[in-house]
Amino acid sequence: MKVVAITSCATGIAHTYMAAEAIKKICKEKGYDCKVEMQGALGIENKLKDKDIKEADMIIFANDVGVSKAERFDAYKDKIKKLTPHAVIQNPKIIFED
Amino acid sequence: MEKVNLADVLVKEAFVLDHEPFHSKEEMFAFMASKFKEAGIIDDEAKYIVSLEEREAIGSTFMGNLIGLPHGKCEAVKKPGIGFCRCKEPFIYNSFGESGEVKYVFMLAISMDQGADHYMRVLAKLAGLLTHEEFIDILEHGKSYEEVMEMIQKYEN
Repeated sequence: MKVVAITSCATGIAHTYMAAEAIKKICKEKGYDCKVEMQGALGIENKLKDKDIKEADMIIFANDVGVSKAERFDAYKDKIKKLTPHAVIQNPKIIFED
Repeated sequence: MEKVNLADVLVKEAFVLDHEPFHSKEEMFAFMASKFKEAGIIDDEAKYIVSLEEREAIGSTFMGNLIGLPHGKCEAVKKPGIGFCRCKEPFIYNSFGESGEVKYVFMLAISMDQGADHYMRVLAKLAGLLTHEEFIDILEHGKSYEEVMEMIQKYEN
């Protein structure tokens, strides 16, 4: 299972980075591959490659604000799960719940 | 990832262990703001508290796991810094319609200057560490600023 995610938040400070770590941690526990792009106060970090997005089984958007360069995901809309960073931090398991 | 040193930004004067539980988030804001003022992190407590409240109006800073992470960014911040307060018992923290028990408060002071990337990097690192139970354990058991710093550094290595 390959998971990719994008995190961002209103001030670009705490939630962006905390949600990223929460997603990486739960994927590690489950033995899944995981890459997380952070769109925070430091700009775009760990930017997902087209290949990462194409090969992902699951795409998590954990954002309070619009995703930058969202057109990269246009062809994969059925794989996207939209959540808030806050919800992901408080209960990372929701990523894998229906 | 480059090594970042939490000791550079975790403000000793605003590092408080075993405080009595606060009656409200607002009481805690005033207490921590006064510590930041003493430490020279901010030059105006009222302005800084307004910036904390502005952030509260956008979304919750209650992070679960007994953690509250309020943050304020404004002109009153002269030097970026992180304050920490561990309470003896959890208190009720109301944030953006959410209510939860908080025992560990990390308060962030963010300056307006754009060149603070190193500091933002440390904040990002800290935010990540907060999702690790082992890190929370350090916060629970540390007996002094120095001991907590030492334990964090060991944990990172």
